[in-house]
Amino acid sequence: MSEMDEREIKRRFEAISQFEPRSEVTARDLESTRKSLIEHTTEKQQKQQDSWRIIMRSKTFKVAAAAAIIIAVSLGIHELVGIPGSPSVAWADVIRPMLNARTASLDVIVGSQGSAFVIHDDVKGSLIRRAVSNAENVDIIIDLENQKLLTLEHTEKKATYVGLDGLPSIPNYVEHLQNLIIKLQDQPDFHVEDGVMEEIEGREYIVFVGQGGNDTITVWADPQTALPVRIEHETPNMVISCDNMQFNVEFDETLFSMDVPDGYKTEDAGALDFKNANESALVESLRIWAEIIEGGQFPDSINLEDLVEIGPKFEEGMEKAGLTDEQQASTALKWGQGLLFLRFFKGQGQWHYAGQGVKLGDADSPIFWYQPQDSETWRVIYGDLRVEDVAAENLPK
Amino acid sequence: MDISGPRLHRLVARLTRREDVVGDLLQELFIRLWNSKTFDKADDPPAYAYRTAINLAFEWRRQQQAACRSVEGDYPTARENPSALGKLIQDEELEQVLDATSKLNDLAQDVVVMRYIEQESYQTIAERLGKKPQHLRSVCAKAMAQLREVLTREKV
Repeated sequence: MSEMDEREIKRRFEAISQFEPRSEVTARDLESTRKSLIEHTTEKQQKQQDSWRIIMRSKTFKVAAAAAIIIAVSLGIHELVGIPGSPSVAWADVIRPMLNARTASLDVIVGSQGSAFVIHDDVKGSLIRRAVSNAENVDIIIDLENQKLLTLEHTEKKATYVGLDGLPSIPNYVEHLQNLIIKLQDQPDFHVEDGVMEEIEGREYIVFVGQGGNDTITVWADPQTALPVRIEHETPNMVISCDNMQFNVEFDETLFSMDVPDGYKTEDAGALDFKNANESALVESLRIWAEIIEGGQFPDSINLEDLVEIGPKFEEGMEKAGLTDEQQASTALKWGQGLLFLRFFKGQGQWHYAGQGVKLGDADSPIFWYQPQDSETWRVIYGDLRVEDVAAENLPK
Repeated sequence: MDISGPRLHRLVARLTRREDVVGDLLQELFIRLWNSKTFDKADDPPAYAYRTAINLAFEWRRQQQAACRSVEGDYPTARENPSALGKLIQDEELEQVLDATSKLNDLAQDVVVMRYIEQESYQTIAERLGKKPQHLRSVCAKAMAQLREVLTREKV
């Protein structure tokens, strides 16, 4: 046996490192990769569009669950700026247009760029007119003050009211935003990193990063006008971005009317109850998720940004379960109720989900845990959906 | 892709030593990255892409080995045979060292490739992998010992 020495191994590696593919091969392969990626992206976007269409068009799904998704994933920019900060001159310049805004127009993106759906909001006081990408001919008008949502499906000429009972009081959307910024800027642990320039699509923007607690907010602003054009808010559990922001836009009043247009059939789909967006609602939502949507096991993810992919499964599960129309509507509403707990999470820090691969009824596997406000212990939900108080040192690893 | 693409292409070509398969692997690499949520959140996306390319190329090598086991034997070295036969032998030697590298753990693979094939400093590798240079020296030394052992065994 002859022993291989290290120099020989290095010599061989060096020989490998000398290899250069021919430039025409590199160019050809990169071009075919580019084409393949474009095809793949188109397929993926098509799949997401199809999912969203199913959510919106499914008879049982759209009125309650779709409303829950629409509300849950993003209520709008008043949530987005909920981060600590304190004023510096440049930061104040950028925030000022928001503080002085009477109206706003913006795109809200939940999840990462390119893989998410986009919500377009026109905001006037406590009224929001919302359109969701890939759901053509559907508009949603949200009246925060009167806690009501109206879905208008223009193709089918159908209007559906959904109540938003117990929605946290937001008497005026823009005023609320302004008060919130002022309040946050007064917090003692404020810090902002500013002054960095960044180029996006050929235009330069000044970027500010404000951090506090578990939240980070990044603001991109036009360096000439100091107008913010994009805001990204990252929390431990999700990322929401606002893009293409404009303030003091002159809107047609009729855009925000909660009256049903002539010729539209009207339905009342009941109400989501924000007061009961609690742990029990989440447990019920997880039960429906496992039992009906996922065929006996918990989903891989309960992140709100992944919800748009759930439509076809929900539809199939409802049919397999043999539920009546009324039962389906009630189930969808209950499922949506649990989402509100996640979206308006009131516990300390972040929630944790570990249900991937766990079967419903598995009493040994923790699937979700969080620490309620003012509690020293954590609440842990197991695969059999029982809930226990657990000390921090005994939490799942 | 315009910035990292040529570099990743060259890396995959070196690790597979097969121009005819690089195109397919590069497509698979970019689709994996596109679908990866970890990549979206990576602190250093080019470094993440680079490590994914290494994993993918060695994954391919392992599949090739499983499909077609190389003939074992005690071959003369290429340096002793500077002829066409020598070229074949050298090719086989390079295949052997890459196949042996494919059996290392992921971190050791990354370090060995970056250090000896891409010829980067330990400092640069440490920055890419988010580890300390001295730790990576140790990983590399152990990897070389393992390679020596595997290649010596294969020569028997």
